[in-house]
Amino acid sequence: MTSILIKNGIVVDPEQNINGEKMDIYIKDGKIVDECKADKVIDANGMTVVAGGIDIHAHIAGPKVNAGRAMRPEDMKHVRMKSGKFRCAMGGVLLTCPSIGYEYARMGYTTAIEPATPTLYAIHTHEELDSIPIIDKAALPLFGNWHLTFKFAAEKDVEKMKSFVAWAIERAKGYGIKVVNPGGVEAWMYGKNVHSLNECIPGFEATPAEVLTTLMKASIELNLPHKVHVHCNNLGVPGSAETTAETIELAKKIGEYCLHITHIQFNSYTGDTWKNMGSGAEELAKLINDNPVTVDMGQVIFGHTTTMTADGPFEFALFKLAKSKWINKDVEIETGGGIVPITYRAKSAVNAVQWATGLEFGLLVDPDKIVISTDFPNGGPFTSYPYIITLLMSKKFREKEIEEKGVNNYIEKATSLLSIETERTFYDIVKMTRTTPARILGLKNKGNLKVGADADVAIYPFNCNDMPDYERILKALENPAYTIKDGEIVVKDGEIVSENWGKTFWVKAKEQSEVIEEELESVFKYYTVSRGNYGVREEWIRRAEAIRV
Amino acid sequence: MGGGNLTIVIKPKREFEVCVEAEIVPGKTDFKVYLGKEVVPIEELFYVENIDDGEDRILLQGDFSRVKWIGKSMKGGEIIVEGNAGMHLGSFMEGGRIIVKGNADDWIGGMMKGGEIIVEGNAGNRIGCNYWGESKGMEGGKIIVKGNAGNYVGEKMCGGEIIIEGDAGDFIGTEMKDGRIVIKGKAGYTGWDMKGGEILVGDCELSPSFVKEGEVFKGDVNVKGNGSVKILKIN
Ligand SMILES: [Zn+2]
Repeated sequence: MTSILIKNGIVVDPEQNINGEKMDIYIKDGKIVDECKADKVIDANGMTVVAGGIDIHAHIAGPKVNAGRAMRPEDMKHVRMKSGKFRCAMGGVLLTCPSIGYEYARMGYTTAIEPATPTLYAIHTHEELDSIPIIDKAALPLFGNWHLTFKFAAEKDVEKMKSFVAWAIERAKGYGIKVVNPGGVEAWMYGKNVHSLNECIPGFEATPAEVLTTLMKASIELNLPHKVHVHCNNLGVPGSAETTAETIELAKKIGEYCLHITHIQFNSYTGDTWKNMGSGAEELAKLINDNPVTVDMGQVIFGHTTTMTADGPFEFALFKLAKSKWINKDVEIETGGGIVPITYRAKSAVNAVQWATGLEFGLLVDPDKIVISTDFPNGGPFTSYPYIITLLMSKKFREKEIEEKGVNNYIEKATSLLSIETERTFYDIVKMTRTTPARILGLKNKGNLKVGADADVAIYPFNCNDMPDYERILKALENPAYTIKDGEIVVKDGEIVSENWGKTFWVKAKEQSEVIEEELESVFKYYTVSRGNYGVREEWIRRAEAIRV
Repeated sequence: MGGGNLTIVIKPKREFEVCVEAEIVPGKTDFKVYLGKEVVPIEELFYVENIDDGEDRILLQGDFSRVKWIGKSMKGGEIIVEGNAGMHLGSFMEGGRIIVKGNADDWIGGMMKGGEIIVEGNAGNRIGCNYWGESKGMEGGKIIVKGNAGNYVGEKMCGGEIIIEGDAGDFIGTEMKDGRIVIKGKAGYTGWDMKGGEILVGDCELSPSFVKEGEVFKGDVNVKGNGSVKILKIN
């Protein structure tokens, strides 16, 4: 491994309260070091040096991502890069595995989290994660509709829930607890949904509120690095803002940080029909700022994309609206899923409100509490992060986009976007793409440039102390001068120059599966695989890194 | 280089061991030619001769049955294929005319929006259809096949006209939305999931989910369709 000196760069690292200081960064053996003899010197004079970006929520691997690709050959025929020195990279919004790694690196991102993996199919998720070059990654197994989750939640048995969570995360080689529409996906097996946190889940004694509360407590007691990652009930429909506020209340009752609400934009609509739907972002942003929760944006990008989520009933509702293709999936006693292609149109009042709502959150929530995301591919491509960042940094750019795209003026009535003067500083942006996601994920060696941190670095060709106009910001963010991953230069001037293989993080929590032995035995009577064949072994993963708690 | 006022005569230099992709369109002389995944100079594979005769025309002489994408996205002018033509002839075409004196392979006029394709011999499968996953097939223009056609004619077709003077295979007008298909001979399965448009056919195996209304059959009722199929043999 070569050692690198990044000389005279302007460093932004909120974790160390460094905001635009000219300094040198040394890299050796894949880590940031104090000082060393450098084989290679990068002259970063006039350029901004930050840690590699972290995507906290992007559907990048697993059976539903692959089913989406198969369902949309018209999106997959787009050629990004022909094979040669590197592998062929294909895809429009959906991407092949090589494309995913290359495109992240080309934006200066070096870590991404796959947020919805059925433990039963975790083997598929890891096979795909192992095919994504460059970036570090991790997968979150789904817990919110598992029969055993309902059982332990109904019994309010935190001890058993803890053992179950630790056991399942170990089997999935997963990183934390993902919950999607708790109870709703189970109800969907009978063509139904659940519509409030306190409604009983069909066939069980538990409510969504009890599922969330028990899982939050378990996540704290297990000391998981990443706490409960929730896609709330009632997602995507008018009135969802209320459910989100109630979900925040649940977290508040616990009293300490234990809840990350994902793609908050999709869960923040007021009104009771599509005709009077509006944004609940202003109220919710206050609640988020005042309570121990974090969120990611779930920004919508105008254009076509493919939605995919474990939220089967939501996808069915979307299918009825979009009238295009639809995949529905039942995952035994664990979860379900659906896939539907859609197009977000600037001229549509509903889509315009969605677009504006995401930006409201990005401008109103404390940068220590919000992460930039599109819920890839649900809101749009992750490759539009530079675009989203530029929108957040420039009111002029927001106005230009509204004007040029002809964004439906219903947003004037239904959202507060037009009255928000805030322009995010680059320091805020580094928080929202590096510092904050690293903290939420509990990845201490990521998202910062401290001595000892992983040498994942992005160098952008602008001076953050003298920010250029929005056009040049956008161009610079789309074309980093360098991306360094694990101490190796992988991107130069926006193009891939070499590729390596990132780590897959997983969490090994203290497991006492004997406490739930009886329950496990009973469910495995009904599985399509035997208990011995269930799950993923560490040695099957290319570069597994266990985090022991 | 640009064209527009000349006839370009193109002849293969040899028999191609693998298919060649060449988006040959009138008004252009700098075609990108792919042999496998490599771009090669057109002179490596073809003899090219420019005749300054004021025409906007391309003459393809010799065997082009292994040359794909002839006339892709063309907007005007004329291509005359004097022998056989390969796959994807005239796909995404918007205007102008292509005449094939021999036979054409699969996928002619895929997603075309305008212009005219005339095949004097037979044509393969998927005529005027959508590409995989796309929601619209042919949207405008005209395809005439003087011989027989293969399976899938006008899948998801939204406009324009396809005329097959001989017989055709199965899946005629599947998920068709608008436009017109005429098959003078006989065809196989016809009209499945048809939502609109018109099919005229000598004889066929019509989807059972059509209802007879006077001279024509209306359907496909399974998708609340309002397409009409007229079977000449019965009427
Ligand atoms: Zn998601």
